Amino acid sequence: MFNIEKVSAHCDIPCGVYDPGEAQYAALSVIRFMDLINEMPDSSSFDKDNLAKFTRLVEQKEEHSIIAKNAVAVIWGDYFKAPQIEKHPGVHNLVHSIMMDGSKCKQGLHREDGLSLLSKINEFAEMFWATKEVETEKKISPYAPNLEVVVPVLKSA
Amino acid sequence: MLPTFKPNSYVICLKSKRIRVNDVVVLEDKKIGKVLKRVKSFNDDKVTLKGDNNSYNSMVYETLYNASDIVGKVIFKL
Repeated sequence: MFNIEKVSAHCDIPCGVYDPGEAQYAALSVIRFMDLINEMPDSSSFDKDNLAKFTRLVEQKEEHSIIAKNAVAVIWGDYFKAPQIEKHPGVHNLVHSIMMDGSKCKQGLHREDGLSLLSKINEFAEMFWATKEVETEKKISPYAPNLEVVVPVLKSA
Repeated sequence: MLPTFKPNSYVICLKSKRIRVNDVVVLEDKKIGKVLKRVKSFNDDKVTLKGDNNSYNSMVYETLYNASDIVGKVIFKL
């Protein structure tokens, strides 16, 4: 008989600041760590220094995979609401796919998994900025691994 | 909107053109959807909003809305 609608009285996080740049930075880092690990000599010839370096790179690769996953999950979970999801119904599948790629990057050393993670996070970034009607462009990261990232076109101060 | 409105509260909202400062309204935000906030200012069919929880800020408070964005005025809290 009655249609009771839900409304938000607490409509955002305190600062209202969301930016997929954190996830892109983390995904680039994951690929960089994969490259550095794959450039190392065969593990059978590791001395203690190389062992320490290898352990550190693996640990950082896994940590940055988690950072990328968390950054995307927070934007998807906290920022994307009904109006954004209606405009971008593919967001759920995309985010799930990012979670899967993030896990693959944690587990393995396959560069193609890192590239897939970055590509999907770029797609997510494009979607996110579109919801804010912010124009985007594709730029090459000015640091290794020098790969393409989708960034907002910033206004001059 | 704490402490006035707790999560999962029920409110009754009435379509009204008589909106005044400090009224609690439901307003349709294009990006967020329907929000429940208090009217901070109302001039020339332009509306700004505020919340009751002063320890909390929101992008909604920075937005200048049209009076036509208001869905209705909250007249009763259950």
